[in-house]
Amino acid sequence: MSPAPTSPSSDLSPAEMPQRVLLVEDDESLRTVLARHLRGQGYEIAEATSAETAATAIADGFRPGLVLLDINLPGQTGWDLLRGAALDAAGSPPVVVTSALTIDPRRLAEFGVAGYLPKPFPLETLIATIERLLSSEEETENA
Amino acid sequence: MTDPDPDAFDVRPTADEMLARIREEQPTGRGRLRVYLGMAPGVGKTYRMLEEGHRRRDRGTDLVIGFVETYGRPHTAALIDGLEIVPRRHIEYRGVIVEEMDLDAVLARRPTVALIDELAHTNVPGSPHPKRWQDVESIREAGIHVVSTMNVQHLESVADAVATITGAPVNERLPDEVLATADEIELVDMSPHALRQRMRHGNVYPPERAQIALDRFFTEANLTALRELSLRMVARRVEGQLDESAAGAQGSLVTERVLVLVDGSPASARAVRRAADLAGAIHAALIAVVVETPESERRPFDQTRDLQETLDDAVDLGADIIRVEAPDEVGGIEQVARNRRATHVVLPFRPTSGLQRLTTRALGDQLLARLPALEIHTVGPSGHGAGS
Repeated sequence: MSPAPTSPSSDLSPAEMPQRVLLVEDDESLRTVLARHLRGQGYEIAEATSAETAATAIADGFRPGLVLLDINLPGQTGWDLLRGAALDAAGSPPVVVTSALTIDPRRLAEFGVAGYLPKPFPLETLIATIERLLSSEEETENA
Repeated sequence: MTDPDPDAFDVRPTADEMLARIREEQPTGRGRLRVYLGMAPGVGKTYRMLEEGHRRRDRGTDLVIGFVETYGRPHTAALIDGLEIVPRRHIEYRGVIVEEMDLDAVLARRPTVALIDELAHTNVPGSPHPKRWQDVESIREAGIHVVSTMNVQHLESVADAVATITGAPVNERLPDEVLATADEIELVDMSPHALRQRMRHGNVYPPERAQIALDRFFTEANLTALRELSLRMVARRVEGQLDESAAGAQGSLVTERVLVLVDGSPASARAVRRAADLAGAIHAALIAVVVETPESERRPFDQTRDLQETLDDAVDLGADIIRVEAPDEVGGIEQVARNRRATHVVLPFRPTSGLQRLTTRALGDQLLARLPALEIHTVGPSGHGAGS
């Protein structure tokens, strides 16, 4: 395997894309904890504090392989991000939703949510979920 | 440095090793700290630490794993077998349950030796201490010996340089003082080529993620620079130990003194790090000076807080702190520079407007006019300068 040339952030090969995670969480210290652990696993993380900044990151060219989305956000909610056009523009990456409130499974299905983690959940479960979704993305892309 | 077969030591220890072992196994006093230092993730620090754990346990030492992170690396995970593990503590933080070392459980278990990975780790809020090295301090206070690991990039004094080299911010930092209290530092060395090879084979991260890491962070050039930093770190420490024994407790070999001005500006935070690098390189003492002038009393809150943080940094880097009251800044620095016979002065750069430049002389110029033998260094606020 010869090393691929370094690509600018907006122009990644499909094999690279799945390893980038967009982390949407308004609680700064929780976001820091999550980002640090995920970076420790080798993921590239972009952090967004709201649905609006997440949409801006995508508009600026960030192409995540997965979005980790807290539903209860200030301003627009996670549902607004799921409803809007930003995720389509990003190539509809799988979305993992976290929430302190129970969410009706039908609603999750309606929005095509790939994973749902009701709080409280172990960090290990989150990492395993991301790992599973990204490797299945990989398989689909290589198929 | 050649590394003889470590197991040979276990069979026939020399007198020095026996003495060291007696000291090591004694139940009273402060626990010793041994650190496996690496240039990057994946060089095999945790593996080496666990190997040491097995060797010690085989000799009959009461040893536990306080916390080990295997990152799913199979060879490393296999080495955990046969070692006692203190169960991790589960801390719920804003709905996420994070596993951390259970400090109280390790203290209650009271082993002779505890293996604790990742000395620079930041604990989740709600833990007894914000940083793992503080947990390690408590454990050593209790007389338990600790074996730990860390990567060179997390060391406070080199973190900025590493961020400049690799273009990636270093979020977890360990005060140099902490590493300086280690009784032994062992460098886990590997050639950049060999490490890249390991990564390509998926021994560090899963293969798909490894490729990004290889292209971005773990380039041959970055790794070469990081390796040099680690080697220099360990070499400097050995030199330091030689100097100590030559000079006795007096430290009479110190002939140079680096003085750094701390004023709460971003440039002064960097100036402190650069001054510490310089002091280390020329074996100089480090003095951080705060000059209180009538003007500085009007310092805004933000700047006062930043000043305190920079001073904390300076203490961590081994500086003496001197606060001096003077009618003006130049006078204050001059006074300390004369009293402490400073040979170098590191100043934070201050941008001046065109008009100011016509009416006032730069701090460094004024200082040189009064003390011409000084060497003055000016440091800017950002580490990402042209070609630096």
